[in-house]
Amino acid sequence: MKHALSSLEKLGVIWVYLCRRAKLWFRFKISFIFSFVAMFVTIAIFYFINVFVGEIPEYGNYFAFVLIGLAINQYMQTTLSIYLGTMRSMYWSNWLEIILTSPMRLKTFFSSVMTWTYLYATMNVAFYFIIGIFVFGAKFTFPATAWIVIPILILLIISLSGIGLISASMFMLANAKGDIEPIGWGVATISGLVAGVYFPPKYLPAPVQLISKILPQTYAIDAIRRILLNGEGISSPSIQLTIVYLIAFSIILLPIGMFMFNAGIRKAEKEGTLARWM
Amino acid sequence: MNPIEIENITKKYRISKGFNWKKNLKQLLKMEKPDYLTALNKVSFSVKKGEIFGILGPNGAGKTTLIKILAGLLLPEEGKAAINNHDLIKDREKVRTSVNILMSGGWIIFDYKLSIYNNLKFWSVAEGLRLSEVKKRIEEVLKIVGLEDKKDDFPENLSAGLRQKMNLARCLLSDRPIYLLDEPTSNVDPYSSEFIRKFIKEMKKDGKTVVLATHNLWEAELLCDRIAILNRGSILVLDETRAIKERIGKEILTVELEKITPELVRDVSSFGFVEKVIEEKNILKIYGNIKRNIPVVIDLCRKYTNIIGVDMKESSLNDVFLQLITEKEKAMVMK
Repeated sequence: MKHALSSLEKLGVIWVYLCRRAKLWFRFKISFIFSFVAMFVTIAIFYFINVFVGEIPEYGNYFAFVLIGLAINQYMQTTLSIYLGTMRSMYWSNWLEIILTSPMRLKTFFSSVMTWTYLYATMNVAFYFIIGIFVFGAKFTFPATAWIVIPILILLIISLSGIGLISASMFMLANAKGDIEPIGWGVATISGLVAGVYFPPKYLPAPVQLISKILPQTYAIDAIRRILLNGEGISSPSIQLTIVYLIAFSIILLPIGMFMFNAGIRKAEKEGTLARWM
Repeated sequence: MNPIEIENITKKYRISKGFNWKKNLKQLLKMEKPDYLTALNKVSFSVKKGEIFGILGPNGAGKTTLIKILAGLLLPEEGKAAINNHDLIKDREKVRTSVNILMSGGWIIFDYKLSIYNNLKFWSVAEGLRLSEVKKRIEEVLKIVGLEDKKDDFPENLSAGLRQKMNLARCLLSDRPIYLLDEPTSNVDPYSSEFIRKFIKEMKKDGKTVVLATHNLWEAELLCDRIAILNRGSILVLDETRAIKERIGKEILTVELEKITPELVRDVSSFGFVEKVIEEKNILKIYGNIKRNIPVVIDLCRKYTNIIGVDMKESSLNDVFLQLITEKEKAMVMK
């Protein structure tokens, strides 16, 4: 009888979960093929939009600009939806109760789900760039300091995880068990408009630009573009400022998210709503 | 100390009747108290090591609530409990990993597009089995539940009985001292039910402590050492199965006669050992402490008419259960 898993056993759980998801992914062959077709079509649409948009001041070619936006959007949407999505699926399939009675615990399970989901998102991003560069001829600058994109992405994921966890906590705290949970859905939807995924936020009306300034993704998207399109590095003040902003967002949002998520689980334990059917 | 000790456990559920702005706002401003349903009311008992303890009750009696509290998945409002010497509130994680819980429809955790083996593989590592041990353990548990030739089958192609066996296999992946079984044979065919019952007996032989929540009284009578009968969240009676039947159960003498006269019914009813007489066409059902007094009753009947047949039986747990529940409901109506 084990009460908790060792680090090695936790890695075993993550590995078996990855294999399990990969098996399921390949099993749905049509869905597998069409997900790539859909990505290809999306890239093609933006390529043709680029034909008449052309250059964007500060960033250059629109196609390369939007490819970066789409790539970061993959990570943004994943982070905002992964916690609520996992919570919802555990609730409806009764996994939550079984996980809680196993020595695996929720943290290891979430780590497994996140490892798979971010690997999947990274594969999509790689596909965007491969098709964008080799089929549609997108051009990027990869300066020696391009590695700084990775910590910026990680900080973005950490800060958005706070919002994702708050969104997931609403599932239990506010009984938001429908298809849409207002907080996560709101941030994800507004991000597409104001965070600069498809166009620079400076073209938005001034009051809407204020919203863009309170979202961590606005800073991350801008910084990654500056690195990959303009060749800026860690020495650039705007990149340094972005890192400071993202650390600040992470420090504020993540503890709030974790606190609310745990409060949601505690509420479900009191109300008997850890599972839907049993 | 016993593996399960619970004392004065009370659990209430808030009743939700859909969203109502006015009502919800009043409750939020503490102007109105929400409606609560008492699922468990000061329930206390202990279960000994190696014992099969039955929780019986009609639908909505509080059986599943009690099972979930024992598993550490639901927090009670009042009372205290120790499961495998771990405090239910303070050491909840240790409580959860001390019990194996089997729910009647628990197989929904299985992914329908993965084989039984691949489904069990994830739950094996979740239980802390090393990757090198997984295959052997899965094969062992599949053999125990009789699914060794179905390991590559998909859950969607299995019958309800086989799915419950698959669920049982998941439950057996880890060796824990306490098993909480919630309606383990519901929706399962008689053959598979018999298999599960044999299996529960084996658990007892292995020294496992089993709590069995069921409304199958025959099954409880067959398996359980002790039984608690639960109704509307309260324990009506708790004792050894045999003792409950002896204490509350009745002996029933059924006498088929050529004809029944009011005088015969009156005279039979006048015996001190007879509690109740029911007349059905030409059959008399006589309840009470009958077994030792059969000759007296037969002699009396012969005085009035010819006897066609005689049958004697002790009331089953089913009769006891119905009697108790009916008495409780009557008392509630009187109140």
